[in-house]
Amino acid sequence: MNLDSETDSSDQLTSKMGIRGLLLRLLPYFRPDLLACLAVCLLVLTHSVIGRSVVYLFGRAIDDGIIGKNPALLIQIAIAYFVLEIVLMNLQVGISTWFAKIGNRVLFRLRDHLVDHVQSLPMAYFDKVATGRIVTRLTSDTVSLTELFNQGLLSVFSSLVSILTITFAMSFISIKMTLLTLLVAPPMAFIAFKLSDKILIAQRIAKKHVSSINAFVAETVAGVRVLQLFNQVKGQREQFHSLSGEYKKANLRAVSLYALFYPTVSLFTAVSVATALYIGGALTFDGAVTTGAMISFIFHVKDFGDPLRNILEKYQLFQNSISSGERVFALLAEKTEPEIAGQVNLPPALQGDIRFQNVRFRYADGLPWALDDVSFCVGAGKTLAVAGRTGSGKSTLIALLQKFRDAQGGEIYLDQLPLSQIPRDQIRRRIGVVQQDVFMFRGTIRDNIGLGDPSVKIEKIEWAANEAGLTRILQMRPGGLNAEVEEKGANLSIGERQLVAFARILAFDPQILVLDEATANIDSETEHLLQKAAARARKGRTSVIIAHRLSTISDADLVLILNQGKVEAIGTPKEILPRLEAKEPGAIA
Amino acid sequence: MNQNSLNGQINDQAPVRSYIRRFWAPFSLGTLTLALTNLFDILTPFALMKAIDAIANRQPDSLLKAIGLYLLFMLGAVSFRHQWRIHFGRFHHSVADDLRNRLFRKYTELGPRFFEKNPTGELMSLMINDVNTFRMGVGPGLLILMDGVFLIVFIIPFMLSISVDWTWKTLILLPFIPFVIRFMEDRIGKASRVNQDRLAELSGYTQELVSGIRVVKGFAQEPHRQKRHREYSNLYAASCNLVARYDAFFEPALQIGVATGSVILLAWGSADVLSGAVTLGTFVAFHEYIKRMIWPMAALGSGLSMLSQARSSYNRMAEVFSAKPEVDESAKLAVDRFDSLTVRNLNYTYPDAQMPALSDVSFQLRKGERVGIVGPVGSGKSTLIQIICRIREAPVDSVFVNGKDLREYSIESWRSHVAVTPQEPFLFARTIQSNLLFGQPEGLLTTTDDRAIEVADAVRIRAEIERLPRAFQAWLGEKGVNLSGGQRQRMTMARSLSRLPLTDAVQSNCASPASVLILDDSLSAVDTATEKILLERLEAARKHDRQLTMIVVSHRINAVQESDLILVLNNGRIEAQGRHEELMVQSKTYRTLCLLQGLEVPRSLKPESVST
Repeated sequence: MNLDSETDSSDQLTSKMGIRGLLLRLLPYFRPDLLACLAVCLLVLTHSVIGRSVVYLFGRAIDDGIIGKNPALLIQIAIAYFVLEIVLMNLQVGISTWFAKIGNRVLFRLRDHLVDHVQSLPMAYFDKVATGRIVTRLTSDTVSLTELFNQGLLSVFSSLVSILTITFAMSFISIKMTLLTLLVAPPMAFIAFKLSDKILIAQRIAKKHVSSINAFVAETVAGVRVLQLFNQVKGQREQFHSLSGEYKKANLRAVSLYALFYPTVSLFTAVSVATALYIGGALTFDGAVTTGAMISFIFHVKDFGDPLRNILEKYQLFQNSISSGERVFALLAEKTEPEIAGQVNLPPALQGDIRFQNVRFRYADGLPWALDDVSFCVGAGKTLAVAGRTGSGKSTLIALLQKFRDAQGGEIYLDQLPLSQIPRDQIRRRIGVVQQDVFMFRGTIRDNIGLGDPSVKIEKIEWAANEAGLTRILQMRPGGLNAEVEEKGANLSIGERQLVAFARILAFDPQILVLDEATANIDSETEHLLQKAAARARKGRTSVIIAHRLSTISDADLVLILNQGKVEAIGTPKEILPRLEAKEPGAIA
Repeated sequence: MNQNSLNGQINDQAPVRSYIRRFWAPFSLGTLTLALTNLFDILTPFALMKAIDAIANRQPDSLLKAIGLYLLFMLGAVSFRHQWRIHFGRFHHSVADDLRNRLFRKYTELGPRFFEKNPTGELMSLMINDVNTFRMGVGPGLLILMDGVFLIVFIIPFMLSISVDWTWKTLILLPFIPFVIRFMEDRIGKASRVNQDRLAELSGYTQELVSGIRVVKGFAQEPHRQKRHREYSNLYAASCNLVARYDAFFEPALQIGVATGSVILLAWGSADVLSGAVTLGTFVAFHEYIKRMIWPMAALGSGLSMLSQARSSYNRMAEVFSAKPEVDESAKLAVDRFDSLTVRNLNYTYPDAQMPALSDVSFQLRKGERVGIVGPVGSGKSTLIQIICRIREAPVDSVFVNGKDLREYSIESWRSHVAVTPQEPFLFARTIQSNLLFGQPEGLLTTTDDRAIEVADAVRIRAEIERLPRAFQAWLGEKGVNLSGGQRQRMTMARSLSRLPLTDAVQSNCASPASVLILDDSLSAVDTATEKILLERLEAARKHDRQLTMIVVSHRINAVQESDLILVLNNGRIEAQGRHEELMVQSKTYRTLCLLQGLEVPRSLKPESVST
């Protein structure tokens, strides 16, 4: 277990990458839509400029219409105003939909790339990193990036453009007034950013409480019977009460910080409007600025607050997305399974002859050898039973055969061809594995046999299910082969799942069978069915079986006993069995 | 904790009102400060009006006064805004806290029937998402609704006082806005539900891709999986686009509402300014009020929709609140010691089942005896055990302890006499020691208790524990050690042994020593040899003082062979009962089981062929 090397950056409260770093990393995914992006930016600018001209028109209406006593002009301005508002509305709808489209395309590319990348990572990665963590990268972290696109990027960009155009429109009226009015903006923004950081931390702390509540509830629900049987419900409730109370406290902390946030922005508006009135009043009295211009200036100042608040608000969202982005790109930086240098292709008609020649493997430097100088050979169509205690190297042997791991010494030969020279997918197609605990995908039992591979025809699946004895036991449940499999196969027993795996073998028809015998929770009847299915699957195939039963060992052509990665004994069942029985019981499992 | 008694029960029919009554203090403070905020807020255009009039009429003194007034109003609004956020926050987060505790109480009170109907995922979602939706409804939802109402109530008089004529002309479109908002929120809501479903599909597919990577790679299925993923990913992107499309109309629709008002004001209202009936400042202030009317309209729409979402979330929770525990917990009679367990004509049918799970089951077990239960999957073994432990309730007059109906005893007291090792080897994410001594007072957390060592020894797991980095203090679960199925079973077995007075050390330290040990098929993942040793040890302990009573359920004949009484269950009935030798002769099912497990069956008793 390797937890330290992959510390979850969600645990950190600040991040290193920064929004620029994140956008730079995302740039390649943007490239196909670069032109559309530029067009949207241009539209945003247009929108903002028109928005300012509306305010300008209002000022003109006051100066030339009302003060200048020109009713005809007022009607004209009213019409122009209305037309511009309609244009603005259309522009805004267009910008939002377009931008969302671009964003979703970018994220689609990113997801596609991620899945492609994850599928080509070596098995060692999946052994090292918890499944849940990888899934989080692929799902909630990418969703968090989606939020960045859909709610953040565009709105922050338009807010920035707004602030710029507003400032420009203000200076158009009076530069001096603008400078003095916006004097308070930088310190206010600074305070608000500081506050934002604090809010962010408070929110993350609250989030952590959510996950501990989640974990606690999940455990309680899973273990509720034990709690009840051991009379422990009361204590559990007390623990939950304090967990929930702490979560509430963390939330209230975020609330009290948030309560300071909006007033800060309002205060900015108050101070700047008051300044504008004071300075502007004086300028108007001097005749330097017209009354209408003065009033539109006030409107500009009041419009300043919204984009400013928006940027500050989105700043928090950005921080979360940045840490998600960091994790996603860290995953993309993981090395994939290396390509094979010298390619040797497996012949279509493989015999299924397996030979291990002085094979060595260890999981890391400094660790003891998991397989040490292992040699044996199994002829085509024969059955090898592998036995040994937990940790003796049985699973490693299978991993090497499937090329999930590469031998560090010696060589494995398939029909006399060196495994190291053969492409991975070719080998994996020829070796079918039945695991102890068979993983089930959602969908029907049929889908689980054929795995959605278009080359496996429906008739073949039905034939395979029948041969494996699955059809018969499935008759008892509605739907038969089309019955839906619940998440992780929860509605199937371990035995039934293994039968599905056997049917899978028959449907894919690999030349080599690898079987890890199930030990747990199998009743005698299913056991009987499994033995029959295993016998059927072994027919005509070279089989490597991790054996947990004496009967399997005595059925094999060859028995290999592993002990701490070394071959302890190899021979026919007749030679090996007496030695096994002489040893202490439990040596097999 | 017990606020129920203080402020009355929560009425599931009117949860919002009940919660306001329970947490009335922060709610009323919040409402008051909110009203004050709004009042100050709508006073500011009035100050602005004064200022503009002062500018238009070139009166520096009145301008200064007006600015002072403006700042005063703004400051008032700012400080009360800060206050209502805090009070309201306290209100709705207290509601959420209360709801979480109520849900949790139910989760820990209810029985298997409830958990079969409600998958864990849904219970978690209730606890986090629905509680949050309700909180958002009674907090921000109710709040913006009140905010909207207050603003309307305050602004309309101001506008009317300026000009009745302007008011109705400019606000004529406003009443439509809440409907438009409701309509669009419905659309957006529908689109985002589709969007959520698609996201769930995509995430589900990706999750399986990772969890099943061994199979995907093992069968070289990467290209096909990639293609399927692309399809899901595309569907999701399409639904994202749809949501964005509806969303895009939201703000512009509001904006056009304001704009229409402004245009109408410019076209019609300006004439009054020209004629001198109204000042320029008033004109500008009126324009400000039009702008401010938009938000309340939007607020009515989204506030109502948040409240209705809160309602449906609460209804989902109310289903849990109203669920009744399966067993009657009211009986208070204590079980002071265990003498006998009698099951007489026990029938049990699951609520939605056609066939009874147990029919006409009768047997008796006295202190110090050992009973074994065998039978195929689905024969009713676990149901019987659950009934004995009162996880499920037996009908009246069918299960007796010490001659009295089990239902007359307090559940807690009966369970303290029983130590169960359930079928599922469930362990908690705590230290190994806490798991071993589960439910018993532990000594210092850092020192290893003798009792923990002793029970670990008894199930032959001590050496394996001591090989772990922190031995007995090692943490189990996601962030710690993962044990194999066999190890977990031995751990759960040790956990129940720690409650038995097997030896002096345990006896003297045991908080509530149990006297009935139940093993519900709990050794299936342990190899036969270890199982044998474990059972032999227990047997020795039982024979030693004749105090320990045992019920052993197993698939393996080995495990029950030496019992005083063996029950062979089949289809919910006791097909035969007796000792091993008797059953060999009497029961065909029993003989078949023996044969399938490679046990010696006398040649004369062998059936012609064994077919299962």
